[in-house]
Amino acid sequence: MTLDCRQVRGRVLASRRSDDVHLEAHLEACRSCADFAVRMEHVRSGLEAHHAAAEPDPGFAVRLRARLEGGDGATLDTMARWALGMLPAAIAIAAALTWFAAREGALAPTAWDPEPTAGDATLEWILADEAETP
Amino acid sequence: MNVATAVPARIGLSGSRGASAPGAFAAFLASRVAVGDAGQDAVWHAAPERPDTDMGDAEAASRDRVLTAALGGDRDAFDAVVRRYQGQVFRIAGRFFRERAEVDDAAQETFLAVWRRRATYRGDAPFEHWLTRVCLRACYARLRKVGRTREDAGLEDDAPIVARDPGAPGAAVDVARLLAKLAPKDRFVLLLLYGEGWSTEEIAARVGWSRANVKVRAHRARAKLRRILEEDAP
Repeated sequence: MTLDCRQVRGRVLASRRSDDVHLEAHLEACRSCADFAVRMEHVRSGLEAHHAAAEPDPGFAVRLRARLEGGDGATLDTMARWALGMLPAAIAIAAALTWFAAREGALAPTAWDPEPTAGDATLEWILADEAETP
Repeated sequence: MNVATAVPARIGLSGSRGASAPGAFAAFLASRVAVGDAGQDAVWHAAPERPDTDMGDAEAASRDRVLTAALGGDRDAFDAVVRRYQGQVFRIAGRFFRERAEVDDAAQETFLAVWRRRATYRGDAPFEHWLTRVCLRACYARLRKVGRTREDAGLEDDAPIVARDPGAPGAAVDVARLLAKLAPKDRFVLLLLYGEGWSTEEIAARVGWSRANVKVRAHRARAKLRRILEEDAP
């Protein structure tokens, strides 16, 4: 039985080279398929070695617990307690922001309504247009 | 390129004593021993990480108590389970992601999924096997979600995958670049086929896909791999 290149490459992809005499006979005779088999062996070895040697750090379980507590695992009671604890700080921040905004608003010119200047081309165009209107 | 580097430990799966029959597990849940018995559960906590099959009876009983409590919603017991199995989960995730942050993220997603879906564990397979399945699926979902991993970012040029060295007996293959060229679903299957050395039947059993599904995926992934190796040949 003789194998063509397509069949040989299919076998090379499916399993490691073995005692398949028909396969070996083809590889002996076909340089292109022999190179393909070598490249495929590199791929196998490379994928076997493709592995991060990562170990969990001591904080992993702690971070996971925090995610559980903060998301899916958080009970309404826990969230309510947290919200109540944060309430005074939230009120203080809101009051400070309101006071600051009011103070800035009284002192500063409004940024969104600038004083028209003589060099403003748009203004000149509008004024000229109005002047021409009877 | 010398690819004859040390092959890391493969994703280990082992059988597990206890909690393996649905009826037995249900009965065990019904008659669960009070959790937090420091004297008894310390046996499992203090034991070195090893496959469940290598446990002694006292350690297996201790493991079962902690697992039962964790699956019943006890956070402290779940912490103990995380600490016990985190190494195994990192080893699985490390197969698919080479950057530590990616491995860490995949491991977290695995344990979050275990926690959220703990009610679906029926005990008809050892917990280690169920955990492996959840982890494999979390890694697959993550691969698909992120599309290209962070490590792929530096490999987006058109540099060849197969080294063009006429003097070399056969051409070395840049596996990182090869993986970066593959779609996540193909990458996932090829890493299990060639990285783990699993058959399509083994992949089907461990990931929980049908055998036909895995065979089709494997066929497509191999076809893409073949095309890349042929097109990129010097």
